[in-house]
Amino acid sequence: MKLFARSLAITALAAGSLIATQRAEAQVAVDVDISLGGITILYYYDNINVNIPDAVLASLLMPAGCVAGVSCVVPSPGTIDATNPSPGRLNWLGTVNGTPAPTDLSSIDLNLQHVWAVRAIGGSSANTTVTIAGPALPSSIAGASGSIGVVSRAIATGASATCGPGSTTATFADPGLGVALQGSVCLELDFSSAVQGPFIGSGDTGDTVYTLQVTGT
Amino acid sequence: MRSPWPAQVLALGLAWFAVAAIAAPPIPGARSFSAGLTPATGILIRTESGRITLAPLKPSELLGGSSARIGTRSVLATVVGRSLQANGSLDTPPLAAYITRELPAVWRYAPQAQRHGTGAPQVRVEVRSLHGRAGELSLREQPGISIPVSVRASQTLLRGADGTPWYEGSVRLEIPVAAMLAAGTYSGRIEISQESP
Repeated sequence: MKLFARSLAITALAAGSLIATQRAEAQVAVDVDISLGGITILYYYDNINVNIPDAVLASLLMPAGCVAGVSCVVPSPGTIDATNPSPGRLNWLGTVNGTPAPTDLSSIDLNLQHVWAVRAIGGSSANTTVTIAGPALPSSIAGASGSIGVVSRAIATGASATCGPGSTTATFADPGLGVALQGSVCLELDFSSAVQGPFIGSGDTGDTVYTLQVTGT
Repeated sequence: MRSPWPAQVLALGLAWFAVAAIAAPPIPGARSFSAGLTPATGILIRTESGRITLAPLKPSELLGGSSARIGTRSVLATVVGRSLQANGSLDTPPLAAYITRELPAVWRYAPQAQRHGTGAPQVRVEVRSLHGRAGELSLREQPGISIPVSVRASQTLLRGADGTPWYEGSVRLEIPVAAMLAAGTYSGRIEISQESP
């Protein structure tokens, strides 16, 4: 019986040693820290050349039924009786007067999609704000003859900024550093004084159409 | 209450610390370890003030040679409804995939005499979060948030003037930038274990 107990003890010891061989013989550990401070990166174009083909601008300005640079079919006014203003003459009074009216030249939205992007973590809160500003409105982009007026500026995340007053800031949750959050700018333009291009603003001549500012809020 | 470690390991650990505290012959060429112990055998980790504080993240590490200023873009306007639209298709340059922190000569190990000549020790280096999860560090302010950390360890065989072998190890920590979603101080522990062959 005693021999059995001793054998059992030896067996247990051997089993323990086997366990020990599968474990750490010695281990040390130490606390470790790393600080990731607030980081905000704004990506932007410092110069954007927007080409507006004649056909594009014409199709925007012309009502339906018009072929840019060629003709514009106006609905018939129907039957109108001719008059006889003087002997030997007939007069027929048409109603072609440019109606329906083209788009309001003084307020045409230009949505510039994906022209800025932000990577951000940290700051005083978990949000980031991008603000659009620039010269006092209305400003203008000078052309060879005439100019294009800038009526308002707006900004938004994603692909569609809505023009008009009141959208000059975009605040959003910090997107992190992996994938940049992209955004758009909308310029409300006035073409009523545009005569002949090119219309050159921004860095080409020192004029500035808009500025962007990012803050880790 | 059952100990998480086998009794043999705990005993070995106590014996090692006893030897280390009493004997403590210097390892030739070894760096000064803050623990103040230079064991004849065993493993030590080098720290400052009892912890390792990695250099904070710098924006220049992320951007590398790229810039946030993209330059000039020419776009073609199209008509959408009664508005003009142009897609700038801003292509953001990628950031560095990882930030790395080197811990050169952060540990050393001196084998027992009977193990001289048995080959390099098996030393395992792990990072554990405040919750004990391997391969992560925890955001101290919100421990539920963590970032993954990869560990690359290397070791070098050195010999003292009397030919006594000892090993010195370095650790390289890699943190994927894409996983950085929140700022703050990330904490955890580095565990260095010498395992049986």
